[in-house]
Amino acid sequence: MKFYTLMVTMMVWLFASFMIACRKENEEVPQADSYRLEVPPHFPQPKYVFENNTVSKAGFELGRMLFYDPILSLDSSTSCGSCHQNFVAFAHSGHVKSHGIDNQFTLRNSPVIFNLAWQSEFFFDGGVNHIENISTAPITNSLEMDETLAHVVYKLNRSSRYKLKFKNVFNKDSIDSQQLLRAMTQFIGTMVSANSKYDKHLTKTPSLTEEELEGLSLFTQKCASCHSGNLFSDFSYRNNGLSATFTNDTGREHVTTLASDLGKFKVPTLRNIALSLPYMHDGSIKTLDDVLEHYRTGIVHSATLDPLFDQGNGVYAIPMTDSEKQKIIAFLNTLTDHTFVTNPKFSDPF
Amino acid sequence: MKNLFALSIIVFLSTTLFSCKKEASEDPAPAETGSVRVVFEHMVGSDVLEFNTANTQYINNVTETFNVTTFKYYVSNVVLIKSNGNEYKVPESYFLIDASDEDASLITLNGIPAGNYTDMRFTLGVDSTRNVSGSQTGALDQANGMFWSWNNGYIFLKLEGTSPQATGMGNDFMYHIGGFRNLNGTNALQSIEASFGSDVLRVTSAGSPQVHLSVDVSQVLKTPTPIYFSTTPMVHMPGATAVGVSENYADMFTFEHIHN
Repeated sequence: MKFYTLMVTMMVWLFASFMIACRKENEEVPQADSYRLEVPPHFPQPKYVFENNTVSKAGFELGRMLFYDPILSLDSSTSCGSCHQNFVAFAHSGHVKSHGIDNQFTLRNSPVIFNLAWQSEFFFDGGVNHIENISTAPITNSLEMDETLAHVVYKLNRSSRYKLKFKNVFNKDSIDSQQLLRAMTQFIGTMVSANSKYDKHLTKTPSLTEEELEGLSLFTQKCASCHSGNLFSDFSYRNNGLSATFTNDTGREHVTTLASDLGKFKVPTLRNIALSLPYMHDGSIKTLDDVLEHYRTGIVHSATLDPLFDQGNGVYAIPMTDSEKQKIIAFLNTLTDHTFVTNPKFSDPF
Repeated sequence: MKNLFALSIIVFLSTTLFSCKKEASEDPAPAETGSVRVVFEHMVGSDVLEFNTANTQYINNVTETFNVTTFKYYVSNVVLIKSNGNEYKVPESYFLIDASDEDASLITLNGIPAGNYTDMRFTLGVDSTRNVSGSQTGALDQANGMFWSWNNGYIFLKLEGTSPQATGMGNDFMYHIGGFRNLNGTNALQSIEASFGSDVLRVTSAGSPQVHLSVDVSQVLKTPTPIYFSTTPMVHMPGATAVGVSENYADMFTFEHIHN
């Protein structure tokens, strides 16, 4: 009896110590802290799970510092935060198209930044195929930050402050672009917006008003085939009838070179939509009322126009009455996440 | 009952120990390995490639003159093949060749199993997996300037220079060739075979054999898709022209000799 007890105890002890030894060799013990990506219960599984880029407080804070530091631009004038502002869900407040270095304007309206870990392609044309590559695009775009990754890495390696911070996170002797991009990803990739009135209605206590509920039901009928699921986008590329020719910006066609992709742009999320005006890839529509009016009466037909707008007899629209329009807007207003846009964790540290 | 309990723990423990050991030391007596160096000798026709020299005016196959300012390309997924057909795939083999830099015009393959090899094969470009795997280090670091940030994917080969006929771009020409997707005929990946003929590459732990390949830059512009500086001074995205150029340069490597 005693022999067995002793033996079992010893074995358990042995087993435990081997387990620890085994784990120590193969992987870092994951640390539970509030900086890791939290998956809201009503969200699907994320596409990016920080597999080779475990989020730490130090990594997140480094990414945050880089996000707000104009060191990423050629003349130290422009940071990511210049065109992506916390209080408007990281869109660019009051800007139809965002401007970068030398007062140049880009072709497109600055998109919101949150819930990126649930997406696999980025930008309105989907030209970026991995969350870690997002930052490379604005850093190297001549209309935005006009830098090269090599020169940014050079500048960071020259800074004793950054060298120390990168070493703390990645434990390498010098900084390379992978560390830069992964630190940025620890910051932008863990921005989650899932605490709007609608989210609380879904996950806690039903709290939508009668008008908002009617709006939700209309939204489900008229909008949710593209703005689907709890991320409010199917992340497909569609032509929503803003132009007949798309001469200024060919959209997805620019990436795929397929004529059938002319004028197609990624369906954006509608979370925080009341804050992220103006609307559309080109910022050409100022209010939500005008957006819905566009879908009701303003759609321009062209060969690649999304077939969902086809009402027959040459009519392309989403039919709705004035009262239905107001109800849909009432619902869209419940998608504003005040906790997210005022979260000091994501604010400018400088 | 107690016996059963103890037994189950023993079984569990031994399984754990076994799996632990397996990961820690897979190969108790490693076979003999050696290293191989592959040297790329850059030429234009029969002349050694020189950069930026105003006096060195090369001629393409349609008698337009040019000189070269940049010539870089990716060599990846190197495979060494024995006479019996056995292949050794060099793991993690990604190299960025820069013809303007002698040190970056050769690659060193370490850990090659000893033996006699008669052929080699590699990819000119970067396999599709690494094109969609986010940020990378070393040869594949995006900071090397061989990555399209607006339309993600590696630039497999860059040939830049000047030509009086390239009037569309102020006498500059710029060919950035890439495209890894099997979409719309835009896959520009090329597999290059280099047979050593009657030569044999002998890999031993003591030796340091070298394979010399000559690389003829003028092939980039020749067949099957002749490139005219006057009409096509720039290729900067995946597409039919890029695929055409990649088919041109698939012929630019010639096995020269081996130093064993």
